[in-house]
Amino acid sequence: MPIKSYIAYTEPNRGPALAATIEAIAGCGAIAAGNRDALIVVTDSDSEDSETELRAHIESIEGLRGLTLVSAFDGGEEESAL
Amino acid sequence: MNRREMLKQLATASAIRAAEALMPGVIFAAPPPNTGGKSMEWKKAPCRFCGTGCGLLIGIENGRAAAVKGDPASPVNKGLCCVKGYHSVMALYGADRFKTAFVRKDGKLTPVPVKEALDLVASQLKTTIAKSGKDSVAIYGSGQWTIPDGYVASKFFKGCIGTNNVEANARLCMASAVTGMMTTFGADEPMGCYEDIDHADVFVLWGNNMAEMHPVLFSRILERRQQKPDIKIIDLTTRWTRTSMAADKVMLFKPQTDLALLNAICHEIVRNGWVNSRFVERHVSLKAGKTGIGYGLEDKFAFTDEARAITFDELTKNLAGYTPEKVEALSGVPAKEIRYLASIYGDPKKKVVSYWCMGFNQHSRGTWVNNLIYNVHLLTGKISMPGNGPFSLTGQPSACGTVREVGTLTNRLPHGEVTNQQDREMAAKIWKVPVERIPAKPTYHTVEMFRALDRGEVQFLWIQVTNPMVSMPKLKRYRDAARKEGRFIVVSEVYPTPTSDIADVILPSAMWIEREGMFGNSERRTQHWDQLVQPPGEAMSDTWQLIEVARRMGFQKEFPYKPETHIREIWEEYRLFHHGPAHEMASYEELRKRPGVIWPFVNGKETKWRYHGAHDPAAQGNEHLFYGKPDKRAWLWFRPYEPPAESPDAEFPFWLNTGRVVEHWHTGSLTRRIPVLHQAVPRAYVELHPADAKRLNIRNGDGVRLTSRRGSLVLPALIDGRGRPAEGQVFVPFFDEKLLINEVTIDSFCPISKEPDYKKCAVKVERA
Repeated sequence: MPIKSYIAYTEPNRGPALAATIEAIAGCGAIAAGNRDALIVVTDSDSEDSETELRAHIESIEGLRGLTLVSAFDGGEEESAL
Repeated sequence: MNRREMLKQLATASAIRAAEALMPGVIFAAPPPNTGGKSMEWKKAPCRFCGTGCGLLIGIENGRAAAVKGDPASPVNKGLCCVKGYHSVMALYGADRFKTAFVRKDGKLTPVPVKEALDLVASQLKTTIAKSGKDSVAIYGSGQWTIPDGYVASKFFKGCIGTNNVEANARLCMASAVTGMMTTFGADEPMGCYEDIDHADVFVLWGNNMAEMHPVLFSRILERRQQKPDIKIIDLTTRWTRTSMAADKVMLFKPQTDLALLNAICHEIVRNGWVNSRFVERHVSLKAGKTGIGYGLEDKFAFTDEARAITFDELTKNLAGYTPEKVEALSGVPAKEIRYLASIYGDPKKKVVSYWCMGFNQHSRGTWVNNLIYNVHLLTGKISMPGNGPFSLTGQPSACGTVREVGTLTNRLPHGEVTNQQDREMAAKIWKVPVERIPAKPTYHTVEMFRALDRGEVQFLWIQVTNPMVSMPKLKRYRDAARKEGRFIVVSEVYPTPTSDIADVILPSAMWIEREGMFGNSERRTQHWDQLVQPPGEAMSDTWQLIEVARRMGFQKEFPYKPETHIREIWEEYRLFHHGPAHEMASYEELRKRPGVIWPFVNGKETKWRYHGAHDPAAQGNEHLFYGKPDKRAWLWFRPYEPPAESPDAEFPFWLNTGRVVEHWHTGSLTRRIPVLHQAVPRAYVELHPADAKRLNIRNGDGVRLTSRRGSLVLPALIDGRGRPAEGQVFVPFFDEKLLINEVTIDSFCPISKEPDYKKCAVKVERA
């Protein structure tokens, strides 16, 4: 049950709109930078396969210039990495 | 808040902090969430990765370390962390932690109770000493030893057993900085502190990829430049890195020619009349040492330098061989760039900080190149003042606090040198042992200690909190040595490593916040932390392992500490060594209260800049007083350019450089068990210049065979990844125990510091 966060870079001045688009995807959260063309994206999915699909979906959004993984947590109660 | 929500907030916070590190000044529409539920308790601890010494707040929930955030109260990182710091607590919970001891029986490591293993270690120590003498037993620790670990190791081996066979892996990373400091100033550790970043106009980085190795400090520099756009960052490097990408000017130089470049800068400072004559006349002595000093490639190599006084005219004459044009031919740096750099240092209106780390220290002339950067600052008087100074960064969390201050090297004591009668008397008095028991002669530095293991002179070796079977240069010789008949290897570790593979006894160690301790960072800041969680199984701190073995050998009187108060008792005993204005340490109570304390700590006040009367009580009100030397002056050493032990030739035409990446800590035994970091960089690689790759028909991901005179290794190619070596050079990170680049490296070292040169040897590069 992975929870992951990414830094996403966007085309100029498209951060807020892209954040809204990503927020609308189930299992995704996004925060736009106020002064840079960048977003924070957080994903919450049931499995690594779902996470891979979610990531592919986000990466396909026009105006996004790529995702950089920052952190990943296994959210399962028993097998949590933390 | 449930656990899942808390983790989402932690993930968000990590990403925001990382973005802040990558893009200083970035502001997000929402502030970082306040991670942690009501049940989470936050406790302070310094990060256990790298020498920066970031203050962390560790979130404890149900007896487990569950979250990390930067400590806003820490002057080091001001609430920021790098990717390793944010994930640091995950290193506690790898599935394969050692929870009990192991003893090799019939060739196989077999689990046994820790008590049985400690009995065996003590009896083996006694037997070996009885059979082959005190100098046949040795301990090898690291800059990841806590201060109490290193202190009891030194007391046990030097004061109780009576051997100077105490070394630490800081010999492999910081020894040249120590000898550089000692030869120039007569006292170790930087005169400035991180607050220099808030005052400097120009940052000159020498062979130092700060963006990856000290990312939090680098983010502070970038933030300062954002606030003041006329701030400049100059990157002198042999390889294009992430630091180069952020720098205002990059000067690529050929390996080893930093020696010549620094002399060229001095040449220009003298030629243009930029010498601060008043400062030099009052505070500097001019010296020259021996030349043609060798490379330590042969066993039992010995070298002793001799200081000879020289005049300013002699210095000028010596520097005449280093005109910018001559040095351009040698280094590849254009003469006009050398002049530009000299003008920066020479401009009295510009405050300049020079930073370096392994590029200078892991150098076959490491002491010399450290001396030379001091020369630049001494000639211009830019030293020991806010925003002006040379600053040697450390690689490990307590390379300074433990190895340099406690003195866990063969030649050192907690105060001073084993060769000094007064220093031995002080140690004997505080340790309550006969002074005759502390030998007056150093024995083996690290490389020679492993050579002595090979020769059979060292037969018992106790390794704590380091992984030499990954990190030693010319690795095969020393791995074979450890496996020889008649050698007994004890390894105190938290996870299986190539070093625990060669052990006869493995002792399970309590790690970092599983025990109480102190580290000392690059800026002389001592940081204390409480035990925050329980260690797994029978794991025990390295400090207590040593005490248990010492008591089994009959040294109960010397180690009277109580389990519940032993760290306090050890600290208060240790700080007796540093009493006085030049090195006064804070009390245990003071350390517990604060997010670290910079020494000298006199009358409740930290000394942020040493050797200057405005800041340093030991300078006795003088504008500058270099009190480490008998003449109260800093010694400016003329040191020439000399080539490294091995340079490319027709058979081995490439330079090999090795180092680290931001995601992994040293040999990777911890960070490779943190899934996020492991996934980010799962294996080592070889970086090539695109032109070399094209010529050799090598594409990204292709197998590349590197061969040196010592060994051979196949790695995947990385072309234009995060770094780009110059043509004719390759770079390999050393964190990967499955791709051991030290099979290829050379065990030459600086004859003064005895620190190996991991940055230069000659290799052949072929498509595999």
